Amino acid sequence: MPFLNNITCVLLTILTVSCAGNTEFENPGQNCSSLTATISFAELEALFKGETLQIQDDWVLEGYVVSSDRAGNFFNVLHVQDKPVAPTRGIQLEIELRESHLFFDIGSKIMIKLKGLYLGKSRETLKLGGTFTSFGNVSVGQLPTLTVSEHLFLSCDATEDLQPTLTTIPEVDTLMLNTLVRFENLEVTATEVGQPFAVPKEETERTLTDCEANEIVLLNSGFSDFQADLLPTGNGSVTGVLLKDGKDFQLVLRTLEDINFTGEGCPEIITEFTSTQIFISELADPDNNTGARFVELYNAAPDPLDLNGWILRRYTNESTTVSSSINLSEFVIEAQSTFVISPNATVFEAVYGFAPDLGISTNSPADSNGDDNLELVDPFGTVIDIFGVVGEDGSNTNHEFEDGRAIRKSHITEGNPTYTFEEWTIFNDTGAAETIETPQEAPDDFNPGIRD
Amino acid sequence: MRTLIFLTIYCYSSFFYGQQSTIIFGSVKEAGTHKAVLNATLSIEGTSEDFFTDANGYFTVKTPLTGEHTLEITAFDFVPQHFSLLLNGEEISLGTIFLQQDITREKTDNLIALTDGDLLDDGESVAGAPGLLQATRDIFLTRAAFDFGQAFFKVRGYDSQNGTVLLNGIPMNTFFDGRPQWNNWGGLNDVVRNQEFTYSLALNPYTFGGIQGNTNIDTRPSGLRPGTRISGSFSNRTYTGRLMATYSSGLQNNGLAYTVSASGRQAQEGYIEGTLYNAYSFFGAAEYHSNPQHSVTLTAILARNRRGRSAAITEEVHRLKGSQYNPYWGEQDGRIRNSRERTIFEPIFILNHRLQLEKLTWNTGVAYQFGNYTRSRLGYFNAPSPDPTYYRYLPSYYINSPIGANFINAQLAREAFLKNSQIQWEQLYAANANALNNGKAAYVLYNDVTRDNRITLSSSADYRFTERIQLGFGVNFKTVSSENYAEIQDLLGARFHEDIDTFSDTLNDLKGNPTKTEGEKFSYNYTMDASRLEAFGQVGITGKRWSSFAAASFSTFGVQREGLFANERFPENSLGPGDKISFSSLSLKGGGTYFLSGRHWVSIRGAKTERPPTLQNSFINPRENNAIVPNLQKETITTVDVNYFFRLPDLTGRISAFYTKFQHTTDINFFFVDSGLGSDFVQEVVTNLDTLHKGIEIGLEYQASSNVKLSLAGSLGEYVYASNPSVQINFDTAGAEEELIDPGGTLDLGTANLKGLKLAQGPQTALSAGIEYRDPKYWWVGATANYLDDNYISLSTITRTRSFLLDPETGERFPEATDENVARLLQQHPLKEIYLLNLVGGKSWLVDKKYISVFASVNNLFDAAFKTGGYEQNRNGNFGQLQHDNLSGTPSFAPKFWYGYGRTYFLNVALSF
Repeated sequence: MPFLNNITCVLLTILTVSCAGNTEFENPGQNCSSLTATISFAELEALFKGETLQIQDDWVLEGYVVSSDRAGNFFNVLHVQDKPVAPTRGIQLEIELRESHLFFDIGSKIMIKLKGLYLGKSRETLKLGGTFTSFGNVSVGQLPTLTVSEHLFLSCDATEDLQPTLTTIPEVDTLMLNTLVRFENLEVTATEVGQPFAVPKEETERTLTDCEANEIVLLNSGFSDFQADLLPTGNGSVTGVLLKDGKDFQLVLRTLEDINFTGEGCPEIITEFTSTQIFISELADPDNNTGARFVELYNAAPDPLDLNGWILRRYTNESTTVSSSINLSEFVIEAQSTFVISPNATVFEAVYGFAPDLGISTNSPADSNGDDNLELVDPFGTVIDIFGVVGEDGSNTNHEFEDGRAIRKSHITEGNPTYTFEEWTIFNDTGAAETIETPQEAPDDFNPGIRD
Repeated sequence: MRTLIFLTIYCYSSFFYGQQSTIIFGSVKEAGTHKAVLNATLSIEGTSEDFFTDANGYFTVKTPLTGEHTLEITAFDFVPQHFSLLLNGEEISLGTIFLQQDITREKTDNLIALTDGDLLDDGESVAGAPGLLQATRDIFLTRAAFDFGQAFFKVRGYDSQNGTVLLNGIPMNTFFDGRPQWNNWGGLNDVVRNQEFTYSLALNPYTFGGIQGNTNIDTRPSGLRPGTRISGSFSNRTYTGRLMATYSSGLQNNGLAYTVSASGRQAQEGYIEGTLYNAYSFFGAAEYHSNPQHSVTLTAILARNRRGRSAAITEEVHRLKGSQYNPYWGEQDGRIRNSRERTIFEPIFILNHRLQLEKLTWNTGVAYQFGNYTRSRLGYFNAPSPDPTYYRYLPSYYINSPIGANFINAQLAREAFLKNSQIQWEQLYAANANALNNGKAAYVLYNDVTRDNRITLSSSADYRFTERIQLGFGVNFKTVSSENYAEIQDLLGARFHEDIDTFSDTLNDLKGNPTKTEGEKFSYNYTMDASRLEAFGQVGITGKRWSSFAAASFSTFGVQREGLFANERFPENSLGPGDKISFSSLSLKGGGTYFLSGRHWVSIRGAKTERPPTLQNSFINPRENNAIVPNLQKETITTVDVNYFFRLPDLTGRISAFYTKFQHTTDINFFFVDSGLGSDFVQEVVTNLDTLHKGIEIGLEYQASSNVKLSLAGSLGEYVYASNPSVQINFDTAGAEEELIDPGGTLDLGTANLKGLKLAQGPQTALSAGIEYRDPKYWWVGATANYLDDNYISLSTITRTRSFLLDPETGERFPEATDENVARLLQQHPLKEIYLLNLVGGKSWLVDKKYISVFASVNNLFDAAFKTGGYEQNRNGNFGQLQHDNLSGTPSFAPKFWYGYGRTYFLNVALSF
């Protein structure tokens, strides 16, 4: 059967032909570049003369990727520094490439062919990329996606372990921009603890602080994977890429692992203290010299007291609202000592021969004409001591010291938030309600600075 | 003996009806060799009844018609002959008729090469299937298949699901889209050439069929030309080379006939870049005639076809890369690697029994078909799109930026696209090798697999009740069990794939392993079980000056989905069996022919048919859940055509007018849309969609001399939407709640204003003029000039709903969205007209009793660039966005187009002995 031979031949030929369509493909393996660097970061930066420019030379820049969009906190950007350890400069690469971490992950050594890329600066940040145009002005913007593979190449050198530069908020410097930095002993500012990292779909600024109350912005993307996570308590190290917006430095996390708050928070610094052993010890309205009025406070305690947050309030005449007040912050009243406040320091010194502890303006609580009411309030709003009855004009009452003097009896060692006439000796020009009608003359009838 | 039979029949019928029938007899032989031609078909033109020659080439034709009529004698691979006869009841002897070998037979190879091009993107198929028309001798249909087919012309604007293709009497159209899968027997041209084609509503002995026409491919070895044929082809279309060999034994004395055939087709790259082609096919059939009445045939067909696919592209991309550009491939190992291949391997086994009696032909068959239909795709998971034509990568992205055009970046993007316009496989491997991903894949090459098991039983009988009345009956049952799943083909260097939906972070396979590796099923997995039982009956009656027919079909259909994955986005209805869809359909057709004379006759035919929607239009999102289109309706088709035929000595032709309405059709589309009500990936369900197809067909042939034939053919059609369908969108609700279009996962968008708009069903105007010269010395040449026009692209439906007018920011109508502005923005424009000049020619030699034939064709001689079709993208689903995107003239979401082939050739050399 010769035809069967023919057919067999043809069938075999067909089978052979049909086997040609091989579906197997080899894994091409690591696709890397053996380019070598021909320009340094500093030289590149020096090319920038104030105007965005397109690089026309065949230069190659090498650097290490420090940012990552794996968690979505970076978007269409790569931050690259010149060395894996102790970098001297960093640059921001703007690329339209989503999920760029798949190709250029943290620590990758990349070679950048510069020819054709645009170089620019926005404030202190050096940028490379494509363009952004606005009203005819060209600045560095995103490099189109298919262009990226024309310029960015993975080096055949192994991925390096990056060592973040350890720094502190006061030491942060623009030379560290676009590099990986680490801060120790930071924490989230007290008012933001427990809030989410970012408002959904919005770039959100949060604040980190050290134990010395120095602050730095933590910049979070509203599209990041950890956007809805809550800002942690505690204190510890933070690693991130350093950016700058205006004059504020900003830190951007790559992933949540960049925050490592395992320590206790900063010790709380108590700067406001209360005491019941401080009170008004003498009030003066000399008949002969209104300029020599004063208020004397006394600390009966054996320790000095920081007056941070203390306030002396005046309710003029029958007023029920505060008419004027003196903030005593920044002063310290020594142990078993007085603190004299004068509305007219010059006259006071001329009259009494020494300067008051605090000189202040007229119409202040130290400038009462004798029918006003005074309150001494601690930093927490508690009234520690009072003279007079708020809402009641002092005239012809037991708390009038017009043209006279009110002096705390010497056995009094504590303030009293309720006005108690018996604690006082009061001289005035009316003598009403068991007060003494003896106007007083300065300086002889007064003894500021001395607890009688 | 034969005379005795003849006389018996003659007397019997005369007695019964008391009227004179005409009997025509003779025999048919091959010119030159004087071998008997068996299975030659004889028919009186204008009637549906066929007569055949017996094994010795003898025939007898009986007809009640009177007057002058034309007898046509056709045989596969021979030039048809026509005899003008005066029928008056007296018997006519035609003696021995010698048929000439048809030296133009290789033309059909050319057609099959075109059919191979019928391969398009997912869901954007423009299947016109000129393959159905392969066996036609109608002048218009020949032009439609061989010339208009290049531009995806569709006869009467019908989808190819309206034509039934049968293989040895077994209906082969699929349930999924209703269309036949020509690749199941692709490459076996030598054995599938014997086809019985009936156009439009004409009766077909094997099926009630569709309204476009039906063809039965007869691969019985006894019907194939005995001998060996070996051929080789070269082309620059879909494949570059083809080798084919066939041996047919012919019916031997022991009652046995057998055929074996094989072919291979191959291309590294077809006309479109990156479209590899790798196909091989084997055929074997044995037929045994136990006696002249009974025959049994066993047929096996194994055709495997693997191809690289190509994409539709926007005009922007076309301007940059040209008509042959294909973004689906990239280079790897120095070879072309196409990310979207299609592999079809669905072997068919058929057992047939045929009873052939004097009055009865009864054909019964059972077919078993199984195998895979596989389409590969590149998936990306939390990774940038690997498609180089992704809108963010193109220059237009920077021109259309909402913050103002950036021409510098557009230029950078343009240069980069020109350099990197193919898939960068190496980068995908690099991403998958990413150390921090620990082996998790960012890119996965996977397959969408449909694994079918189909069993079809079919039986049809044709009974010549009297010579005036012909009866036909048939019943067929088809059941398909189809597994559908995605399968990881290549992890591209990664170790595993995390099987989640990355948009909602939900698991696709809640009960399975959340990580999948190569060869594993992932993403979706379900079965679809469908079955259909159909019975039909038909009758044809022939009178003296008329003939008529009527047919009815009743069928029941059922389908049910069963989910094999519990999908986290659809915990309620993804796993397990869903509701069963059932339909029963009744279809009727009928018609009549009146002979003005034997040279002029008119016919009118009409039908009202029903059919269930295809599977692809029944389930909203079968990959993920069991949901069925609400109020799913069966489709109804109403059609009528009127035809005038004439057969003058030098001029023959046909003029037809047709009017067809498709009603209650359903359509489902998938896309991401920025609609006026929000943005999401949606399944769009369009229901109550009616379309209207009407037009005129003309085909004329003029025998200018004994060697020269001139032909003119054309179709003037109007295919339009005839209703404003209802539109509903569906989406999963697993995403962030505030971003959902609607918490219910479905939204009714009301109706879409489509009525009166043109359908994307190929050129609605097509004209062709041809000339053919056949030299007596066995060579021939032909040329056709073709004009195609009024071709429209597929519309976006969602932009024609009210939601398009709404501003998604405010929920209010855009103030600028006036009726006038909207109409201007959405105006439908036809594609540019197409002019094509095609040349064909061939020669054959008889050397030492061996035929050698050469055939060549050149299509689109002038290398004209043209679009064959396209579709509007749905992304810009609101007025504001579409208007802004269109401002620059190069929209990011512009329509995508298919581009036709430029100048191509096909050369075939065949040796038969």
